[in-house]
Amino acid sequence: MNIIIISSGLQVPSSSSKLSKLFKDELLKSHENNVEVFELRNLAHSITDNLLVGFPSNELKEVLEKFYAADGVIFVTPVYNASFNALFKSFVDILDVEKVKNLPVVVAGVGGTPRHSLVLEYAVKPVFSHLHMPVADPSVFVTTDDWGAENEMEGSIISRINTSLNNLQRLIEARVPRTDPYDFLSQLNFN
Amino acid sequence: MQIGIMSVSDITEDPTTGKTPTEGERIKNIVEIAKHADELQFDVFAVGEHHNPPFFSSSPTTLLANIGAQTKNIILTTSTTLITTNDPVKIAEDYAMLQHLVNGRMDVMLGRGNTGPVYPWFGKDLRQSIPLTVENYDLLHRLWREEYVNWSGRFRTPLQEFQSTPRPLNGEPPFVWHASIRSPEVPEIAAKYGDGYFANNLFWPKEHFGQLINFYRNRYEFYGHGNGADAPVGIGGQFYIDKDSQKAVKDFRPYFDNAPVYGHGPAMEDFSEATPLVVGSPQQVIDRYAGYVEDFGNYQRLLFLIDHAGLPQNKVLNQMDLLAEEVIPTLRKELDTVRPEGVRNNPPARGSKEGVLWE
Repeated sequence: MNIIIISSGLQVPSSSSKLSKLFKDELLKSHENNVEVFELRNLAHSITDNLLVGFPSNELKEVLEKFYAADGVIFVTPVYNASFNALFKSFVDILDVEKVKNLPVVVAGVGGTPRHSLVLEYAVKPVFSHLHMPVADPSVFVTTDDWGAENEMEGSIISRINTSLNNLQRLIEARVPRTDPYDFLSQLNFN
Repeated sequence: MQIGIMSVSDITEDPTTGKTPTEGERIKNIVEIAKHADELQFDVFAVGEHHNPPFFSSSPTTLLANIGAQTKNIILTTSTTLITTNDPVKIAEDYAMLQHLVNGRMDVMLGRGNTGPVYPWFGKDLRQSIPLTVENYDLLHRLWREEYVNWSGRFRTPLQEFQSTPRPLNGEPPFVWHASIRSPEVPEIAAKYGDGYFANNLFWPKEHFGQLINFYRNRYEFYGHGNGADAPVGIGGQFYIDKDSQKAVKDFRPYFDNAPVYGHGPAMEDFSEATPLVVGSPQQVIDRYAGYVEDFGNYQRLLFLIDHAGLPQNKVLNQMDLLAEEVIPTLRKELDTVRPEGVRNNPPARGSKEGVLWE
């Protein structure tokens, strides 16, 4: 599987990056997987410019092309003020809705306490439902305490990650073939 | 090859002085700009249609008729006339009237508009934008060609034995351009009727517009109007120049940084690389726009946006002088050199058999 992970944590280092790495490590246990992680922090200015002028910089365009071409994607967002953070939503807002249709997604998040965990269910999942992107269950939420819990990663988070990834794989295998919605434009090459 | 200017009619504060012209000043200024364009022997002057501030041009035929009375040779057109929210009957009448008043030196560019609330303000449904475009243009096309029209459709009152008046000058309807930055349905309409397609490429990268233009050329050929390479294509352009290119960069930066559309966004250098904007020397403009033939094929109309972003009138007139003296003569030669033999140089003649500029 060709998987893109989008991490919208703002700090360096960030818990979102750590969770992204856990996903990546699990995926790379199979040699059939290609995984690339993109930190939105590094693209923040390009993303804002894209919002303002309607087209991506070359650097951002490369990321978007990989995103659209992926078999599945994973979003990892921190919880800010009871929702996904603004950088997550800014990236989602520049996506071409026609190009992400039927692209399977895993939603994951990080937050200070378990109190925030349902943000993924209430705020993040509806965004992807709206975009017609099938969401693999379960979502994976990691709190600050989890990073210090003895065996917690092994026992709980990692198993949730793997259940999620297994379901992602099922969605990818069952998906409606994704086609380039603008294919008709490029197929008619005028000479 | 037609080279001219187009205005979006924005009233914008000059960021270097803090001054904003009044509506009255801008309207007087645009007439002066159009007259100056005629004196400089530009081929085309175009003005947009808007129904909200900060734009003044809600009534393009009134403005163009006034300009027409004060100019000699320049072709007057729009950029664009709203085909979605205007009654096609009124478009047929207004533009036929203009055609008579200016002895045929006009055409019209139709577009869907980019301001959502204009639809409800004119009693239309935004979600029906494409169907409105299709139906309205089909009716407009008939009104200019058929003396008596019997018609019924979804979006306006039926017409029985309706005669649009005045009839087009010499029985020849104005040439029509269809403009679209996004929707392939629009170049499809242009291709179907054998009309021109204008890709206003000002604000987005050329790859996007290359696709739409290729699509149009293919469909033009498919509908049997002739060779796709001859299909009338127009593009937009934008520059700020000085013989000293560093001075141009320095002078234009505050206008760029505060402009509507792209201000407060990417750096001027990055935006110039991605879009048609050239800030520098006249030769850079020549190179860029001669080079677009490789991306778009041979185009027959090029309209530069000059009076925008709060540039004061004296700077606008000065840019026009530089365009006339330093850019157009050489750009024409360059475009002549790269154009393959037999490929059409101008849009098709239409509108007046005694027309001034028409081939």
